[in-house]
Amino acid sequence: MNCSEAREKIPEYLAGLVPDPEDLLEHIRTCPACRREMELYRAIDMALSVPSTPPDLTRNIIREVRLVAGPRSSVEWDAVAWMSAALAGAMALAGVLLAYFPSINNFMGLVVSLAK
Amino acid sequence: MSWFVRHNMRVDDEALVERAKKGDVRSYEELVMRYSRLVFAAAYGVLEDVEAARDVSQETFLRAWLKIRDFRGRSKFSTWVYSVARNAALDHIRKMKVRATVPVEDVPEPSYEPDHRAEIIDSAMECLDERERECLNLHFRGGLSAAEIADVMGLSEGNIRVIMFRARKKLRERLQGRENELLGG
Repeated sequence: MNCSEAREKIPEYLAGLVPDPEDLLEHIRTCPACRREMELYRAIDMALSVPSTPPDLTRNIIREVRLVAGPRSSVEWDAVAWMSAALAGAMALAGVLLAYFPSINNFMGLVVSLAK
Repeated sequence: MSWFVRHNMRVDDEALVERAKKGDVRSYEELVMRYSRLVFAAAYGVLEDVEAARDVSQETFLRAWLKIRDFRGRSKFSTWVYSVARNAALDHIRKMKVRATVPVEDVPEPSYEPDHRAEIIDSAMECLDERERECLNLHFRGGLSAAEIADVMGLSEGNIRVIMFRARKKLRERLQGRENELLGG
């Protein structure tokens, strides 16, 4: 790969449009001018990220939402979730017992015949 | 965070929306955590002002909370909240135009130091069309992948990648001669 091809490929590579970038990356490793070109694209990308999301933004939004939503908490939802989990567990246990019931029944029959 | 959300590492948005519609604030908070970055990027993309974008982000999530029962789920929550954010940002601009007679001394100072490289890029971005700017904004400021941008904008992932490629190439051409400023050399 020559420098002209490499420079054409760099923005394609950064956009995820080069499925096999090994040749390009090898060229960039060995060519200072093309490496600088890649660094330039990276610098553009970095500058595009400014300004980043303020670190306290999410926390402040949640505080405001709680104020608007009022005192209605998620306690009732937690209770619903616990009950759902308990019900699901009970159903799973019942399923297991039913699946093994014939063998349990046979075992009980064996105990009864031995007793006789 | 509610018990359900804590113990189900990735509850899908639809389930969270359904719970939020029934008044579960914690499920809505999880949606806020997932999409505050997207909403901030959407607002900043329109307003190009950090403080205004912060206010609009807050307003967006309050509006969305109040209207969530009207959300029918025809689109994804992310797409819906993104459009709420853009509309809120456009409303903000309209309100600012009405208030344009405010004396200059009453206009607040920006609360952050402008970044020289970001300023160079911001001016170079004038060479891009609206869709290209939106893609770059959502990717770099909003932290969205090409697939997520495709969802929000209603395009294919391949289209988004091509738009990003063209946008970067145009920016590079526009920045000819300013390489040292960007590289800090």
